[in-house]
Amino acid sequence: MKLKIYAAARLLALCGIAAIVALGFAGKKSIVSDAPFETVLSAVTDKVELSTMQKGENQMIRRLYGISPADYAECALYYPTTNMGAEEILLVKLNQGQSADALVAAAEQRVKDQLNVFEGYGAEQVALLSDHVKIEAPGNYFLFIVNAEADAAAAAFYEVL
Amino acid sequence: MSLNSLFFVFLFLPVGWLLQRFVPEKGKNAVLLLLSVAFIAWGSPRDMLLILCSALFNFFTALELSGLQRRGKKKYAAAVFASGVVVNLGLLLFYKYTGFALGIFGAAQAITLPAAPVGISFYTFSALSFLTDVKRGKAHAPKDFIDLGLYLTFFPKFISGPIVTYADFEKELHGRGVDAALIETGVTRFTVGLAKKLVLADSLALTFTSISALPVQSLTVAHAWLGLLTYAFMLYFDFSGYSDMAIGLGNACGFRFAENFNYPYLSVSITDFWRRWHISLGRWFRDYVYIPMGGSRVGRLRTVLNLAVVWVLTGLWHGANWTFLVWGVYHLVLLLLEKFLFGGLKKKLPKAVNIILTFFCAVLGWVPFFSPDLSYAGGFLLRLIGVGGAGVINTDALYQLQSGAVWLALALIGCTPLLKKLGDRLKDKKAFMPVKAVLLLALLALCTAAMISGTYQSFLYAQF
Repeated sequence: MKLKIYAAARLLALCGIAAIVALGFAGKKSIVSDAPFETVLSAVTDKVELSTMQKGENQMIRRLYGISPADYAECALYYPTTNMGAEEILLVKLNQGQSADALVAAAEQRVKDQLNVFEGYGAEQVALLSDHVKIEAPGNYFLFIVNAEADAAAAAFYEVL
Repeated sequence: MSLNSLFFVFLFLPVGWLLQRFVPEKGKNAVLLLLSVAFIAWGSPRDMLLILCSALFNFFTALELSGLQRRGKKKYAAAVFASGVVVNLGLLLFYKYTGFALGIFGAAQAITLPAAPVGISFYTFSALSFLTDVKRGKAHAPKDFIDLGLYLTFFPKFISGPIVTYADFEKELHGRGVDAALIETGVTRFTVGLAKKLVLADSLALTFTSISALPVQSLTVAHAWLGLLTYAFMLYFDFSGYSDMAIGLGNACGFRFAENFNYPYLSVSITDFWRRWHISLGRWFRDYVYIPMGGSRVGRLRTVLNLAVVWVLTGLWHGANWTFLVWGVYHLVLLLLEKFLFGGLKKKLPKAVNIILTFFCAVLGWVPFFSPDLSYAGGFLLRLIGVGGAGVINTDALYQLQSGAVWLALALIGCTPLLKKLGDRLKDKKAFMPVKAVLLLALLALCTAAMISGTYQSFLYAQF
């Protein structure tokens, strides 16, 4: 009798494992795009005013987000030209089968860090960081944007994928 | 949650330790299990649920397996054991290797996979060793889920080991004595480990990340060697620091885990290196793969095959990438050369020469290990011997050398037993304890500063 209970409990636990694994796929509407990186980048940057931002090198990506650009297929960064700016764009193309979870976590952390920086004196920047942030990871592309035109840029991003 | 975060060091750890310390003996394991579950859930509630379901599955599998064995139903027992292995390995393969396998067939983009739970490689190896030991009669199937749950999820070792067998863990599950000396050892060990990680490894990481950010074509010979050496020491202090912290936390809670590192860069051969580097992983492969296949007592050809299986698996265990496979095969080749060709010659060489030779062989192996792909690894190896690239040295390499030299020198001292020997020699002196306490506090202050400035990197081995 005991053995039957153990077998049933084992099966139940296995169902639990299967359900959790399956849940991992839920909500992941995957868009795997062949669009060239430069095309996606242009689509996004065309929608925003770039004069308040400058292009960043790999070192700056490491510094701002704590991620290694070498781990990804391609990366591009635009970050503020001054310390008083909050606008930024990070576009990343992932390698085959790579998860964007680390990038999403890094972007969320970046927003928190920036809010800490500007809270108390930078009302405009705090508003930007509260209401105009998009973190999108639909498949093999990842977009993080803080900009007044974030919605339009994100729409253009999805359109070109 | 990382063991090197402010939240862990100054809130989770002290509160958790006090909780388990002052509950009655009977409830200690339950509190530690709850803390471990909270530790995993902090990173990802989904991971926590998955690990709990998997631990329950292993718990009932062990009970059914031992019940069937007691009744002499060997075939059913074998089937239950096999199903346990398939489910545990299946989870690991699914999360860690599906993307790699699909990539081989050019279909990786067809699906977006969920992220692998942190620590799944270490968890799976613990679960597999547990089921195997129950089958072999080396461990009892626990009657209380708390025992197995704590073994599989115990927070100090959950993310990056060391891999402990259930039989060893079980000895300390009940009635373990925790005296002041063991707690003091634990606190010292944890602090030293934290400093190894936050002060040494993360400082070396600054040099390595600056160099690895450069395109491989623009590396000079000096860049390549400096990058390689900083990575070698960074990896050692990162992982051995984590092991020190895990062992120290275990001590503070009354558990005594075996050592995971024993000055590996002073090894006299590659065989010796693998007895000193990530000892618990090597032991796992020996006990659960190599020896069951016949080990080295089955003729030369079969021994080579057994070793090949172990090293291909060791390589792939570290990551689903051709680079890790190449790293594993590289060590296989070195071990075979040592075993069958140069063993006699090495014995005739002075010890210092053997240490230097082994050091460079082991360090060269890190090139495919840290490279994102094989073409980068090939380019980096060519830069080491001055082929291609930007010459022997340039101003950037000189700058990197100047800024990294102090940390490299400290790393060189730190990877030898010099400081430990000095401590052993002085420990009977009157002033030893106060000086040690001041030094530990200073180290903790340095680590806190590093944590506050947010420059710490996540543990390298947590990704494996």
